[in-house]
Amino acid sequence: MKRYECLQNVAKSVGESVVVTNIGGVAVEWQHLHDTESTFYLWHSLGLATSIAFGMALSWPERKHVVFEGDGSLLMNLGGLTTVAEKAPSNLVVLVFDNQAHESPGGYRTATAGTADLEVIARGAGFQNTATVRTLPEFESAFGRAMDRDELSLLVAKVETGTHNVPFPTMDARENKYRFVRWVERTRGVTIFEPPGHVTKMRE
Amino acid sequence: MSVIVDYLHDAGIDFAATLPDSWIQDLILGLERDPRFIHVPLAKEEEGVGICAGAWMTGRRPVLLLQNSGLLNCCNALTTLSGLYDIPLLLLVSYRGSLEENSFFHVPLGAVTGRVLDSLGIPYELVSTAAELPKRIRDAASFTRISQRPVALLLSKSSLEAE
Repeated sequence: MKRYECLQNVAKSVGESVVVTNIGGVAVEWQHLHDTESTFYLWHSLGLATSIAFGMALSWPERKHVVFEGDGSLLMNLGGLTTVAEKAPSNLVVLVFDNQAHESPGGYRTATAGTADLEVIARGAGFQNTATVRTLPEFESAFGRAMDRDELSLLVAKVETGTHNVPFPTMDARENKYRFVRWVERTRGVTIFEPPGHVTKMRE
Repeated sequence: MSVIVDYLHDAGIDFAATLPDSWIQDLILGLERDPRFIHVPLAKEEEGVGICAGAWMTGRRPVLLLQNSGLLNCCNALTTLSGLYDIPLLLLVSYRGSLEENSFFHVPLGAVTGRVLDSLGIPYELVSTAAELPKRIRDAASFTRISQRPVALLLSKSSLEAE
């Protein structure tokens, strides 16, 4: 199973859910497949994709949040799974693309190529709704269930290494932040960016 | 109940990610019990930078409350998340290892904390007394939002003695 095929399936059903992508090929593929204002692309800070999506899901409980994780990144922040499971936001789906490698920097193996089982680790942390899938039909049905349920879930998709040949994005981190946060402001009807300081001062 | 909880609320803060230190334990208990805040107890500090970034981007105003040892654990995220995207974050840091310290094992932290913040390009101030806390917290919370950059307050032992 290829990650790109899974993402094609996600693009069909994700709607206006918030999407947080991990660093690397997954961000490049998603940008090509389904670049929307509701996507936040992580370009560094390996290990923090789920933490960011978790902070969003707690803060915006009415909205579904999906995070594209990787095996290498999740292994960097296993303690973070316990933090998420303790609060168990019912609007968060953690989707782990497990290619058993740190692919972007050269394909070195991770512990999931050997003894580590991320689904079992997640269950041990307290995730109730988990699955591991190896074929596209299994992925479609497990992801569909996770999206329909009102329950924290974690889905491990065992995928091949390899990134689909698509153009590299041109949007940088700050532009992505402004686009995403302006979308949240409009959609939620809230103010997040402060007015410039001198304007506030002049009003005082 | 810690008065600092009220100072944080008055400064607009409504989301707190914390990791315990003995100097700030009453404050953390206060945040946990106070329904005006979403409180997230952390496993390790660096995840808190991510959690708070997500909270801010969806409309909350977060604080990350931690010991300066935990601040050192956050250096990468403060650089490659907060710094790369320009994301605000109020850091409240217990200043272990300063000259008020009485535990030898915290001493190395005091020697490097200020210079680490300088190297990270994070503006910070030392809060020497409890009386300064309301204004310092208000100013820092405002500054992080208008600058869209992390800001740190180093909390001295004296400033926390009323806790």
